[in-house]
Amino acid sequence: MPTSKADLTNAISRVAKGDRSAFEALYAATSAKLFGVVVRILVRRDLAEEVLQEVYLRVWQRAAEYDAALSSPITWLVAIARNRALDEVKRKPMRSLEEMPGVLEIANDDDPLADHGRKEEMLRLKACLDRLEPEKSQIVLLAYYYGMTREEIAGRIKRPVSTVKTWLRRSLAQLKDCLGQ
Amino acid sequence: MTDDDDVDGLAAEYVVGSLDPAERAQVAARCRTDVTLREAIGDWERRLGTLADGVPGIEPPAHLYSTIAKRIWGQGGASIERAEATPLRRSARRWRGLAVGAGALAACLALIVVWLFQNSPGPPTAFVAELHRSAAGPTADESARAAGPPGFVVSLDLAAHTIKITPVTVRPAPRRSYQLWLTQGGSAAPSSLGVVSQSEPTTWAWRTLATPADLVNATLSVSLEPEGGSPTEMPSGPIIFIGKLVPATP
Repeated sequence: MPTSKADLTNAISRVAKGDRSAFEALYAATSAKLFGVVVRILVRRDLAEEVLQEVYLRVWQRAAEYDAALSSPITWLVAIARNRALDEVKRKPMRSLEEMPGVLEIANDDDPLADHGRKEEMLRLKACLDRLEPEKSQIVLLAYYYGMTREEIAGRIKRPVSTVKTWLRRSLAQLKDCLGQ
Repeated sequence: MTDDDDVDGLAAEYVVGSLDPAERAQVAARCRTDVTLREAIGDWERRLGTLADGVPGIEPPAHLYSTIAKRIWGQGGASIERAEATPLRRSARRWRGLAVGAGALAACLALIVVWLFQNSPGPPTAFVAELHRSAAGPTADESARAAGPPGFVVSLDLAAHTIKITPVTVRPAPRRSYQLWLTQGGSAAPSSLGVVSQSEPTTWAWRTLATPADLVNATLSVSLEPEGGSPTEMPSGPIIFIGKLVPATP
C-alpha cells in the first residue's frame, strides 16, 4: 500500500494515466483518512459515504491536475474531501451541535501518511495556534474540523456573529504571520 | 460579503470552513475571475493542510470501493472495453489521418462527421469537435461557426479511452495556459479535461463518466488561464474557443 509522500505522488500520476490498480491502491491507502475528515464534518455516516464516493470520482477525473510542486498529495486529497464535505454540510444543515465535543484539541493521532517533514510542519502550526488565546484557537478549530459557520460558532460560544467574524479574521491573520508564509 | 476588501481573510475563512452557504457559493463564483483570491485560497489550503493529519482515520464500509469502481467503469468494466476495442481502433486510425492535415481539413470536418454519423448503426463510440473563437461568452451558437477556421480540433475515442486536442489556428499565449473544459447538458458545471499544449496535439486518458448519449451535443470550451491552468474547479479566465461534440463512428 503506498503510504510515503513519494508513493502517493507516484500513485496519483499513474491514476492520471488511467491506471486502475494505482487508483485502487491510492484508495486503500487514503480512504480511511479522508473518511475520518469527512465524517467529522458531516457526522451522518450515510452522507459521509455518499460524499466519499464523489471525492474519489473527482480524484480519478482530476488526478492529472495534481501538481507535486504546489502541495503534498495528502494536502491535495484532503482539500478535495473537505471542500466537498463543506459544500454538502452547508446545503443540508442537519447536524446537531450537541454532537460536537466540549473542548477541542488539535487532533494528534499518529498519522501513517505524515512523514517527518510534515510532522514538523504540523508542530509549527500547533505552536502558532497555541499562541492564540484559547477561545480564539477554539473557534478556528471548530470551523476547520466541523465546518461550523460563524453563526453556529456564535451560538455555541454565546458571542455576537460580528465578534466571531472579527476574531476569526484576526486569529487567522496572526496564524499566517506566525507561520511566516 | 464577497466584495470584502480583505481578500486574504475571505480566502482564509473559505478554507477554514466558517462561511455560510451563500457566501461560500459567492466565493467559489468569484474565484473564476479573481486570480488573487484563488491564489490566496491555495496558500491557505497549504498553510492549514497539516491540521487534518491528526484526525483519526475511519475505515469506510468495505462495499464502498466497489460502488466507486462501478460508478467509474460501469458494471462490466474490462470485458465491455475489450469487446469495443476493434472497431474503435479503426476509427481512431482514420481520425489520426484526418488530424494530420487539421488546418486544411477542418472546414469540411462537419460534413465528414455528418456522413459518418448517418452511416453508423449503434451508439457512437468516437466523437469530434471543432472549437471556434467564442464571440459572446460560453454559448456554442451557429454564429461562432462562421468565424473562419477553428482554433482547435478535438477527437474523442471512447474505446481507446483517449481524447486528443490539436491546435489549428490558435496563437501561442506566453505565460498563460489554454485549458479544455467539458459541459454535459445545459445547466451542468464544466469539468476540466486539462491544460492544452499551444503548439502540438495533446492526448489524455479519457476518464469522464458519461454515456455516448450524454456526449452528443456536449460542449467543449477552451479558456485562457494563468500559467498552469485554473486553480479552481471552474474556468477562471474568458472562454475563447467553443464547440460541440458530434459522433464520428462508422
